[in-house]
Amino acid sequence: MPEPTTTTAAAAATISGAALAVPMLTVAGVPLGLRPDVLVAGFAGALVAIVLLHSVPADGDTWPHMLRASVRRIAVAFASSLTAGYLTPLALLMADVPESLLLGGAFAVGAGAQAILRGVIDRLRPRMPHSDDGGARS
Amino acid sequence: MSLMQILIIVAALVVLAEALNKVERTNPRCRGLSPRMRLAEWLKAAAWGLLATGAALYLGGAMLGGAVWVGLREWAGPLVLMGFAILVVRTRVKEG
Repeated sequence: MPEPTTTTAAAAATISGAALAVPMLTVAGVPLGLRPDVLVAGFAGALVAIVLLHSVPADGDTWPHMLRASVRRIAVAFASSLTAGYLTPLALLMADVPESLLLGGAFAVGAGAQAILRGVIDRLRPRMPHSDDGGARS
Repeated sequence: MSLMQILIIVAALVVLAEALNKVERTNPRCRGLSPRMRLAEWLKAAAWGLLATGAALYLGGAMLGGAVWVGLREWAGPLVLMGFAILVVRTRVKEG
């Protein structure tokens, strides 16, 4: 009977091997631990979330509203890419998923990054019952 | 960084912002759309999505630099071209 950790260990070895095969991003000589292909997959997921889920709706038609919404959308797409870049390998390890699904996982994490991060934050710091929205405006 | 590079970065930023705006305004799952209009909405989402991805790749390459982004940045031009091609097709589909 195989050990219960065998598959997870194999997945970890595969993912770490893949991380070595694809060059990581570096800024000013500092490795960020991010893979560009995973970032692009996360960005595509964020785009799909914006199209189908309307994850960053506009709040007006005036110039300031449009500008603010544009900045917010760029920030959400950027943050979703970063979330996918950093959390996807961890999510694959936790779910015991093969490395071949890394980009698919990154796409899914990028699409759900807002909900994932909000869920994690709510779990770590539950909303206060007496506040209107708990300080987390959606 | 040359003046031309700065201009291209600003252009990429404008394209990215507007593409994300357009992408958000598409509603391909809206009820009551005719099949042709629904196809036009999907084409619009695909086109602006490609434009946004191309602009983001260019911005990433320009901001972060390095050998890793050189290969990806080569995709920016084809992605933007494909986006515009789909926009042209979408216009034709919408006009019927």
